[in-house]
Amino acid sequence: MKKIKILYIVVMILFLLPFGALILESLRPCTWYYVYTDIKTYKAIATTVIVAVATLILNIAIGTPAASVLARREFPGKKIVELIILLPLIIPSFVTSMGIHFTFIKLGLAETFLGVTLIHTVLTLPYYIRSTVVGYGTLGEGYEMMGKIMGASGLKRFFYITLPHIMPSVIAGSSLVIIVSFAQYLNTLIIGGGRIITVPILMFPYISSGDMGAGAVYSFSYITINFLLIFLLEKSVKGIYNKKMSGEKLW
Amino acid sequence: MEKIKRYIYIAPAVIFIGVFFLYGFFQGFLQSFGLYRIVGESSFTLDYYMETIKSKSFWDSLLFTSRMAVVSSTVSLLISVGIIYIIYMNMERKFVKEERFQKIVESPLLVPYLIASYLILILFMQSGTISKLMVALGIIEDYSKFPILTNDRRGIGIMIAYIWKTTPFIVMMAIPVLKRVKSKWDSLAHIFNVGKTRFFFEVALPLMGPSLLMSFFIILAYIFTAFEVPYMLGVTYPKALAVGAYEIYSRGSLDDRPSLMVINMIISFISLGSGVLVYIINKVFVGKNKGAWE
Repeated sequence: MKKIKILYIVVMILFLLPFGALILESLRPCTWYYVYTDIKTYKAIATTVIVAVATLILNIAIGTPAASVLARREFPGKKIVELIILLPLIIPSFVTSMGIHFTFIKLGLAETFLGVTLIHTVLTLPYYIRSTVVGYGTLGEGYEMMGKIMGASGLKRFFYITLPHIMPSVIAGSSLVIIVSFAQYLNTLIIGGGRIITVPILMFPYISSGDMGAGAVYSFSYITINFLLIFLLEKSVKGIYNKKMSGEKLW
Repeated sequence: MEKIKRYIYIAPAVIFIGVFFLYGFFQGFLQSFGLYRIVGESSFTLDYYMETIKSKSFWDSLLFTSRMAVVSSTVSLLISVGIIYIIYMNMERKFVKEERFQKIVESPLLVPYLIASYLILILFMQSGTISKLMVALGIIEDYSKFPILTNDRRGIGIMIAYIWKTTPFIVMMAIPVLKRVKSKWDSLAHIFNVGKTRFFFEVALPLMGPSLLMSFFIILAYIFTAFEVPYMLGVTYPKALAVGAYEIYSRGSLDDRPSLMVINMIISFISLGSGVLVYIINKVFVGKNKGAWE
């Protein structure tokens, strides 16, 4: 059975090897200094965050009501609606971005924050809705009905009954939205036309040439932030569940 | 009232995807037939499809993309089965901490394809980390002796990047099934004195089949349409379909638009076809195996 242990270690090393190379190559203080004293870095980070947050807000506004209906109601045409919401995951996004680019130029949306945000929203909406549907799926209607009987208004019912229950899946969906939005390269390039410089667009020239300096520093920072986001997500979702499990009864 | 409310809730999402996604796809679809042209006369024609089908570079691209997709997803599938096997062997005896191992194996999922390609590039290129180590250890004399593994004609770098990125996905999708199989059938296997290895290959693996097959086709479809990895790790000829499409696009000539849209439509229909396949596998097999879970 020692063999299995050795296999384990070999597999782990193989999977970690690319990270190892990145860590080795990013051990250059002067490149870190160069990257983080460059105003372009901060501008790109700001752009990326603004686009991601705007995308998230649109997702929550559009996706949450849709998820609540999809999870709990049957209606004619439901299958078609589900298919439409799934399509952005099946059809490659650059196909539609290229198709819609000219229309965006005519509408004045090309090369703007809004245009890029709209495209990111389309690409992330399937993730957000699917994740939130799971949350709504476990919420019995009785709870909301109870609120209604006791005279709570629609908004009150949403914030005090529905939201606490669906929170874990909303958080999971939201982090997916942010991670997917952060990772966009081609769609941002097509719609942003090189004017909207997000982090992937800024770092692309460095990493595509295999540049060991700035490329490694950007990649290292990017991966760290992604891992941190996932870590925080797991923690907060687990926190919510633990609270529910331990005495503090929500219902 | 209650009935109408459903549609009001659902409408924004559907309209949004309709306007910003389906409309874009539809525009591309029309343009591929020479309709709705940005410049010049618009009229229905199949010329652009014929032109594309007759061109050698298109077939070379298609062949190259297919090879990348089939080889990478097959190798990923085989490696995943191996990893799932050792995870299974470890489940009872706990040689190593299971959770830590799974976290490490799944870590590539959190790295976007763009950066994954970069990591593979700096690891395997001629002046990359492995090459540097080998020179330092005196295994090879200098960088130029190191084999060309990135930006090579055979697409080895592309395949390594895909395998590194997609194996965790297959493993991640199959582990919950494995856990269910184990909790459900393990005691029965003990009663009949079935060995662990036999149990894995004759009971667990067939029951994981649909999950593995679905992941396989999801990956296959993804690689067909993917842009980042071949753009960074590929060569100028033959190039992946999506890279070819992007290069026509970035030349910026509006006359090329219909031919570009033809390639885009072909890519879309391949991935739509795979989507249908995944759906069928899910319906047929998962339904058929239902008895095993009850």
